[in-house]
Amino acid sequence: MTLRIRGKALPDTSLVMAIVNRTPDSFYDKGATYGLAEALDRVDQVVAEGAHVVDIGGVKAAPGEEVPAEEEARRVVELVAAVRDRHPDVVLSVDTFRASVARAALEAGADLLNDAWEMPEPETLEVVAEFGAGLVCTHAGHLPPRTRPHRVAYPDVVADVVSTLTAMADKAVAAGVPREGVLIDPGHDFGKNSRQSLLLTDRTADLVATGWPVLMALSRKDFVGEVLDLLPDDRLEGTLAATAVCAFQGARVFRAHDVTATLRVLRTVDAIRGRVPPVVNVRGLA
Amino acid sequence: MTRVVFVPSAPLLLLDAGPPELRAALASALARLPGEVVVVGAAPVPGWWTGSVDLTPYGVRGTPATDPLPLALAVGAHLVPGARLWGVPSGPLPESPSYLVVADGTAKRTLKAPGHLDERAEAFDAEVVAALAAGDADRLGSLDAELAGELWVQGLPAWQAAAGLPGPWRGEVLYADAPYGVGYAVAIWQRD
Repeated sequence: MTLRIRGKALPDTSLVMAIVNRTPDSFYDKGATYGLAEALDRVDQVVAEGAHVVDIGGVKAAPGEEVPAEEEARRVVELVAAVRDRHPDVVLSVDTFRASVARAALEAGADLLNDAWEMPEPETLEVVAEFGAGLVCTHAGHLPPRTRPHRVAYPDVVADVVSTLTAMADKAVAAGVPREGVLIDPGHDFGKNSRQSLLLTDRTADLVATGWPVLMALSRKDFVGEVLDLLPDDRLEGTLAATAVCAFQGARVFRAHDVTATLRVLRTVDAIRGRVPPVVNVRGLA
Repeated sequence: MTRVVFVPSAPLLLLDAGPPELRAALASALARLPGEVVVVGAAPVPGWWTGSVDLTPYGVRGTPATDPLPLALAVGAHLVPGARLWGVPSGPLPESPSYLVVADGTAKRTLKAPGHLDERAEAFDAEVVAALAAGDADRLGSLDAELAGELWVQGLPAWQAAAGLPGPWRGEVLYADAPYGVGYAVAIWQRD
């Protein structure tokens, strides 16, 4: 199915959503793009690398310094407006769990709301529908925002994710969010231990079978780190392995720190699956 | 007026691939083929052919055809949709105002060529290009068949068939190179 986010059609290939954090304390970039100039440079770079979507966030996911809504909106909206001006065609996503920040960002020209915390503020849905924007429905283990999982257990984590996300997606469409802009994200690490995230990775096909386009946010996360006993700086290969496994099973969008590496993996998987042809056709064909 | 266009027989042409210079020469040459075209290419059975261009043998996904054309005729059918297809070696070619001869040279032009480097390959291909440029049917028809086999030349039967067409010809070479170690030529022969 062709994804269309606030009127912007995306190619029918696997896609990359590049992470740009306007935060002083995110787990991997640790404030490298907190400043507006640095954030804009990062956006320019990921767009040049070929990212299909740029995802801007103003609050780190893990517990930490409290960021008031006004401050979050300031961080996000300023960047959204600047990016909208410089890159009118890129799909621009905002990572927030607050309806007020969502509204401000969509007013400033964002196309997609990436609510990673299972939408704790129900009025967010009306905001997204009002703007005809896209929406990422994320499973966060039914936890409040910025909560770490503690001894989380599910009778069947895959079933919980599938039922939660299909209900959220159906509800979004019923509220007026354009169907072609709705994605589902199983929320790796969010309300999940590493075994649960790995199981969801293995069972990507179950999510794809719902018919909703699947977004995977895997990049350098703890579930990769625990598999290998490695810190975020050394989690690229593990991330890319998980990326390949999910793409092979049909996940569509990959939220990533490492755009070029992710695009190369996805291009290869897409070629293996026959979704795109090789760029060069010479070997044995000359 | 009769025209004969010579093009390579590379499978990558079925995928619309190849260097831009080759693509441009092909487009230019094909644009000068008037009216009805008979494609001339190597085939396991001589004479008229009908069938489908089937890419699945080359790994392209799809349903295999029940009536796949041999490579040279498939390339011709792909380049000139609707052309009639004639397999060679055969007796004299059927009458036509224009022919598309699908044939290429050695596959041993460089170290990275499919057949690795054979020092004799360049001279062989140069002889072909010279014959095409001069419109010299006798020269094109008298290439060394044994050497051609050793150099992985697949175009010989088609060239020999073209050499049997009555001349005299004015020849013009639009492209002659070996970008992937295989001798490709795009040329036109014209007879008033």
